[in-house]
Amino acid sequence: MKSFVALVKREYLEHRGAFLYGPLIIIGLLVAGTVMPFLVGRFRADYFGDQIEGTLKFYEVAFIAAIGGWTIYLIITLFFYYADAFSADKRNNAMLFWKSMPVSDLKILSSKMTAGLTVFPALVFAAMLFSGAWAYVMALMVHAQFPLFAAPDFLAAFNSFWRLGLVAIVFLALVLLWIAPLLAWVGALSTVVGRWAMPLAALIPAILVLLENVFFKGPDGGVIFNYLRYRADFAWASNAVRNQILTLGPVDMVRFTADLLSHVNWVQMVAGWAFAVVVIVLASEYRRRTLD
Amino acid sequence: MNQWNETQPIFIQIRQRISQMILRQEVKEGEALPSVRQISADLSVNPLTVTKAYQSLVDTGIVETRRGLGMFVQEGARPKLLAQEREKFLTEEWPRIKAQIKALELNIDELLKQEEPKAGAQ
Amino acid sequence: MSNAVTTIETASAEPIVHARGLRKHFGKTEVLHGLDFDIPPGRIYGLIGHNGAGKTTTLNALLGLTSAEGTIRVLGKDPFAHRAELMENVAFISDVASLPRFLRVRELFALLTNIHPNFDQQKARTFLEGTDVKMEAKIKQLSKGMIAQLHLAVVMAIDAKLLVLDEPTLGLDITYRKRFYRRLLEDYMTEERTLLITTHQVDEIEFMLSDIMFIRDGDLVLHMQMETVSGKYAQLIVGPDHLEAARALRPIYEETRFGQTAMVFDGVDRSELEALGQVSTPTLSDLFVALMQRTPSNSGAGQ
Repeated sequence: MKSFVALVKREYLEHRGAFLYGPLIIIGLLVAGTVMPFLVGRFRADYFGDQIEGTLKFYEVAFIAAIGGWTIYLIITLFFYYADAFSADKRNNAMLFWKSMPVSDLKILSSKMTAGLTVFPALVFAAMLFSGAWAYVMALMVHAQFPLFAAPDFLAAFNSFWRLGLVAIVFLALVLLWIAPLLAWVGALSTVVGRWAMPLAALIPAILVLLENVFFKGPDGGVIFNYLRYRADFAWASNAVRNQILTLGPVDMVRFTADLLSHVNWVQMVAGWAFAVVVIVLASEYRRRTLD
Repeated sequence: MNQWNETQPIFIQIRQRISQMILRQEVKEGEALPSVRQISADLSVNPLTVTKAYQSLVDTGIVETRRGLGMFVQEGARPKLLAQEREKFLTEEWPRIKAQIKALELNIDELLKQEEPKAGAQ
Repeated sequence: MSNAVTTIETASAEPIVHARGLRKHFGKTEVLHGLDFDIPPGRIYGLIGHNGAGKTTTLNALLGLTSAEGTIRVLGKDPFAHRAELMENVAFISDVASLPRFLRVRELFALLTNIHPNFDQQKARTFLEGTDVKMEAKIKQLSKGMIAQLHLAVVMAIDAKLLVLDEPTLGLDITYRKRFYRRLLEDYMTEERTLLITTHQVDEIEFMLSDIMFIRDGDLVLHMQMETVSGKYAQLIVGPDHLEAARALRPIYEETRFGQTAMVFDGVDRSELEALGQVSTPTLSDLFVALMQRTPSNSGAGQ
C-alpha cells in the first residue's frame, strides 16, 4: 500500500500547480482585494442593502458563495488534470522510466484516478475553509463601516463555520462521486490521445447521440441523450442546498445530509463507478502495450 | 585504438602485466594483489577474463587465493617467476632476436656497449 | 588445465533469459524472425546490430514492454504478462529513458524507496558522492551527463539479477562514458548478476563482454562466447604475393585499404594462414563489419 500512496504523492508533486499555487494566488488576490480598499476607506458594503439582517447572515452567505465558487473551480481544474495527467508519462520519455519500475500500468492509472478524488479536492477544500475564515474578517469590516449591523458573535460565527465546513465536505464528496465516471472517461481517453481528450470526451457521446437519433426511433432525443442529461442534472444536490442551506435559520447538518442522501439515485451512482472501473482497466490494457 | 595487442588472448596479456608487477617488486611476496574487480574496472575488461589470468598464475604457483581476503603473491614467487620468464625468453624470444641481429649484420659486442637505446625505439 | 573457477561452471544453472522462436510483427512486417537463445547467469552479454536490426525490439520483448510470439522467459517469468513483478529483479536504462523531471533528487529517492522493494537509498547516495549531483537539485535542471550519473546510481542501488542497458552512453562525452563502465565493473558486477548491453560503441566495451550476439535484419547471425571468437575467426593482413592463395581459403570478408588487403576467415586453421601474412584476432568491430554486410565479399563464399 505504501507503494500506492507514494504514487498518489507523485501525482501531487507533478500536478500541484493548479491545485496549490492557483488557489494561493486567488486567495492572495481576495485578501488583497478586500484589505486594501478597506484600509483606504473605500470598502463598500452598502450594496448588500437591507436584505441581510445582520453580519452573521452576511458571513454565512459569503462562505456559501465561496464554497460554490471553489467547487466550480475544482471541477474545471479536475477536468484539465485528468486530461493531462493520464498522458503525462508520454512526454519527456518518462514512460520508459515508469515501465522500468515494479508498478503495473493499472496501479499507476488508479493512483491518478485516486489523486484526483482525494488530494486535489482536499487542497481546494482547504481554500474553501480559508475563504470561510476570511469571510469572518470581512464581516468585521462590514461592522466597522456600518456599526448599525451588530458585529458577528464569534461563537455563533464559529458554529456556522464548522457546520458549513461539514456541508462543504458532504456536498463535495457526493458531487465528485457522481461525476467520477466522467472524469475516468476523460482520463482513459487521455491515455490514448493525450490532451485531445477534452474535446473528444464530448465529441464521442455527441456522435453517438447523433447516430442513435438517425438510426433509431426512440424517446425524444434518444436514450443516450436523455441519460446524459439526467446525469448532468444536479437536482438532488441543488434542491438540498436550496432547501436546507439558503434559509434564514441556522444550518441543520443532519437534515441537509439526509435530504442529499435520500435524493441520490444509488443504483445510478454505483453504475457510474462500474463504468469508471471498466474504462480505467481498458485504458491500462492499452497503456500496457504502448511505449509512448 | 585499444591497449591490447591482437595476437595474444587478453587473459595472457593481463597475466603478463601482473607478472611484470611482481618482477618489478611493485607488489612484494606475501602482499595483496589488486582484486579481480579492481583490475576489471581499471582495464575495462570482463571479470571472468581477469579471473582466468589469476587462475593461470595460481596454477603455476605464483599467486595464491586467501579466502575472504583476495589474491596474494606467494612466498618464493619472484624467483619462480624469474625462472619461468627466463626460460620463456631463452627458448622463444632470444633465438629470434639473435637471428634478427645476424640478419641486420649488427655486432653484438658493440650493441651491448651502448649505454641506453637511442630515442625513438619501441 | 586446472579446475575451472566456479563462475565459468554455468551448465547446470537456470538461464536468466530463455527465448525460443521469438518473433515480432509490426502490422504486416515481421521484424524478428524467430530468435533462439539462452543467456546464462553471471555473464556480460553484448547485443550488437545496426539501427533497425531488431536490437531494441528484442530488448523490449525481454522486458515485457511489447508482446511477442514464441516463448520468452526472464528469471522464469513471461515478461509481458508479469512486467511489474519482473521489474523487482530486473533493472534497465534505455538511451531515451528519462527520470521524472518534476522531482528533486531526494524526492526521487523517497519515491523509489516506497515503490521499489529492492532499492537501497543509502547505496544510491553513496554512488552520487564524487559527482556534482546534489540531493536538493531539481532533475530538470541537471545536465545530460549528470542525469546519466543519477540514473546509473539509481540502477546500481537496485539489487537486480539482470541489468539491461540499451545504448546507455549515447550522447555522453568520454569522461562520463569511462566513469559509467568503471562504476559498473567496480561496484556492481558480481557472479550473481547478469548484464545485457546494446551499444554502437563496440570498441569501448569489447573486452568487458563475455558473450556476444550479432543481430542483423531480425536474425541472430552470431551468438558465442568471446573466447570462442578468437578460436573461430581470424584476421589476415595479406602479403601482396599471397592474395590468390589467401582467396582460395575462402575468406568471409575482404577489404583493401591503403594498398593493404585484410581478410576475415571463419573456421580456418591459423597455421594455414600464418604463411600468407600477418594473423590476428579480429576486433569486434572488424567482425561486425565482416558479418553485417548484406552480400558476401566473394560470390563463392557460403554463409
